[in-house]
Amino acid sequence: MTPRETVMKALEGGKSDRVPVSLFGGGMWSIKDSGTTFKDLSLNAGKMTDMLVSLSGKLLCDIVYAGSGYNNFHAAALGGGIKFREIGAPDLESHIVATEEDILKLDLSKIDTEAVINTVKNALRETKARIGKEYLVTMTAWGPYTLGARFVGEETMMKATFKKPEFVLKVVDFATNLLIHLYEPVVSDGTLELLSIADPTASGDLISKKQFEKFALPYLKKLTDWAKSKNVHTLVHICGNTTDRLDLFPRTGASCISLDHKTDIAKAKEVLHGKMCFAGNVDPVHIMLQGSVKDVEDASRRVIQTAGTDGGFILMPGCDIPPTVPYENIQKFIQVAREWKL
Amino acid sequence: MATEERRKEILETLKNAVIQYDEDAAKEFSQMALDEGMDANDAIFNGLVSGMEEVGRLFEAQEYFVPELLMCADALYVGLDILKPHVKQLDLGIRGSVVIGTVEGDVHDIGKNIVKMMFDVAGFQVYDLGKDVPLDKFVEEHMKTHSDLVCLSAMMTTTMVGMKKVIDDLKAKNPDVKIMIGGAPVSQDIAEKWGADGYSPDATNALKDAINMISSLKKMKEEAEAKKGS
Repeated sequence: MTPRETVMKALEGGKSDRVPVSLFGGGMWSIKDSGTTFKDLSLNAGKMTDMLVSLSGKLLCDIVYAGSGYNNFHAAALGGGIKFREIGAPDLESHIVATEEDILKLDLSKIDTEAVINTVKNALRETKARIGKEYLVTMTAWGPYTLGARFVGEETMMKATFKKPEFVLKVVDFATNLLIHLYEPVVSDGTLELLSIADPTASGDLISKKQFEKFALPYLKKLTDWAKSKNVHTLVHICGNTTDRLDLFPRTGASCISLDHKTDIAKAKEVLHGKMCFAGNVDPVHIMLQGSVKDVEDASRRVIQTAGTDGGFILMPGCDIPPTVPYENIQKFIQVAREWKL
Repeated sequence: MATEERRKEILETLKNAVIQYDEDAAKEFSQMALDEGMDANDAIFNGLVSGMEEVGRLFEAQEYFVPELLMCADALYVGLDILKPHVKQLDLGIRGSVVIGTVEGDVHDIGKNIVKMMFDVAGFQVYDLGKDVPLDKFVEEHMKTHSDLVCLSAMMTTTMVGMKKVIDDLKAKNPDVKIMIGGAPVSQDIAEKWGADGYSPDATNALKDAINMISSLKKMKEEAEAKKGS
């Protein structure tokens, strides 16, 4: 089986010939490792493609993520502006939605002409053409709740969940429409088989189960319903400890839920196995960054042993990794899964 | 003057106003406390802050999350705005100064703002650098203000590594400075490994730690001066 087939099998809940394995995103690490910058690649699809292809050969990660670290351009395209920086991914300069009227003023078609978004899409297409038979190539975006909060401002949005809940629902719905609009061209032309969504503002450490159910879940569902109607898989990452709400994840409709290292992976297996694919959850800081190669090996084995021996599972770090994680640690992380026959 | 019974009633209402994030009640009863001749310190610490302590407990118990915390903080501030001008000396027995901010690359400042609020309430001099703060700025501001404490926050696994550089630079310039770090990806062992003096999982603990650190700093200074004197 190719790495691509290995992941596809897991996404469908099945058992591959070995444990599928991938980073989640990894944009900052990749850009640092390649000695380039977010700005440098932002308008150069050829260079972005070369980075994705060469890193794929170096990391042997089953999933290749185009656009990791560029997610804020999706909100910036509609106004708000972008700030590049020396350290860290490009950020949104300002929050542009304060009222329901502000939502109506936003023009989704601006997504189609934004130069950096198009660079990522072109890099996605080229990468897919070059290594798409071997690896599963995806494109990243924020989840609906997180993207909505980018428009409004995280703190303001969180207060608005109490003060103006109807407004929040409208913003998150708009963000969902934006995501569908964003992905539509690369889904329709057959490039994408998998959408990769991170919803960090809907973290189990930030919002309650009740709020997740009301403000995040229905819109993840709307997005995954659309993806399903196009025969495309969805990978959704939720940060923080989500042990208390694992039972809600099958209702997101996602093909796979990627779990934070704080989530109880044994419990996740118990609740999710047979219902949906799940991924996780080696500690990205304590183990991947600070641990020895042996620590990485032990932790990866432990996670697989607990959650990954019956299929429907992908070994991943519990979140995106810091840019300073040693290459040897990633290598070992990937190797453990690649050598684990099922 | 309010009777003891009335005092208790007002304090209880202020406490509950914060817990139930009821800004109207916080406003109404803070004013009522003043009108009825209550001591503003009493209303703040035994009413509003006592409510915030309960909020901290609810947060630890995962009954409250960040949106609830932000709402409670708003109610607290509404009351504080009314009561603070009438406070003669807002003091927990120790005064300190602190430079605080979220490190470069990170625009998440919810946690930092809650910690800042706790320092405010306790009467600290707070120099808030905001979010996405260039790493050199922490050193610069500390040297300018001679703050007792520098607090660094990061919420992302990808940005937290900037903290280490700030800690190294600060300690190189001033070995006596106390540094506290916090944020979702941070832990006690990272604080130790990177040479920070403290790590706090939440705002209540951050304040307790800060008071301890500043107490120990002051003690060191006093001892040094006593030595000089003798």
